[in-house]
Amino acid sequence: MPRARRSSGQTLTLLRCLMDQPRKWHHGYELSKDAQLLSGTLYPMLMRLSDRGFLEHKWLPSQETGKPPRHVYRLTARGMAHAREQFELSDAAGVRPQRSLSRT
Amino acid sequence: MNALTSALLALAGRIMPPGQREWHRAMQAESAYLTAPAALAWSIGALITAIRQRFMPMNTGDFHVSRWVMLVEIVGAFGLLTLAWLEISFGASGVIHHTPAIIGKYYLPTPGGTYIIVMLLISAISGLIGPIGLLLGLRYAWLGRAPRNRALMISMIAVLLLQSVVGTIAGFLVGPPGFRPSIGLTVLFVLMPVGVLWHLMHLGRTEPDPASLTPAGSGAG
Repeated sequence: MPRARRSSGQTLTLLRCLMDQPRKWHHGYELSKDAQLLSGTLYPMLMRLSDRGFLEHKWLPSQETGKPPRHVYRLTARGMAHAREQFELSDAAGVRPQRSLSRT
Repeated sequence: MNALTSALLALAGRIMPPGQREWHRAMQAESAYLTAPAALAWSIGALITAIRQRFMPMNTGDFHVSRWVMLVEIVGAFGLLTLAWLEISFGASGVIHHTPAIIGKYYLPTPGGTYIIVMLLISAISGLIGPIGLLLGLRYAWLGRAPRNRALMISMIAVLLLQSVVGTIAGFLVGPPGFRPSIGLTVLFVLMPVGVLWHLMHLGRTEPDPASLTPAGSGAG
């Protein structure tokens, strides 16, 4: 069985943010703030997670008038399993998330 | 949203590969919820994301390129070297016309003349790397077969580098007065051919899947 590849510290941070409230839909700016990732780093990570079937996304109509719908994200069941596996791997290797999380 | 933010987002939208435009729209929509300075930083991130997504598929990490790209590489590197070699060897002032009498009359008595004639003779031999590289490169571009003779490739790289280094040092020591090596000529006739030779050698070490290459002879019409 192939050994799982360990995610980077930044990806771990993002996964932890998404796993904090796994059923909630998160928008990009919220994830950017929580994970302390710049948009140019965050979105390629979201795209990779989505390509691998770990992330689902949809457009959510805005609650503010005159604002466009927002693209929101949450982990799929596979994504949650992947996140848990990555947390175990990182714990075993003593890897910490890239930055401390605001909500931890 | 200020004009610069809008312009950056528009540019990012043009750069983002078509299959991933939804992600660009996501970033664009998100920027509408941000204050002006945050939106500007966000739009720069959108542009970086678009550039990364555009160039990521090109970066296979193994230096495999389409045969058309290789064709441009080899014409640029070895085409020029071949023309220079033809001129040095067979041109109006080429070494083929340099009889001992001409050398004795025009080169040996002048300061640095010996250096010049020796360098011309060496270049007439080492310049053969031009047509050889051209043939090897064209073979790769046409048939997808990279050279596998590593010794030959390393020898050609070594000859070019050695000639450049030794020639420059000798130029300062015994060259004509006021000798100054030319950076432009070094790039054109040493660094570019060396780079492409290394590239060909690398391709020969990790032969690509033929199906992943587009034959240079097809798809043009």
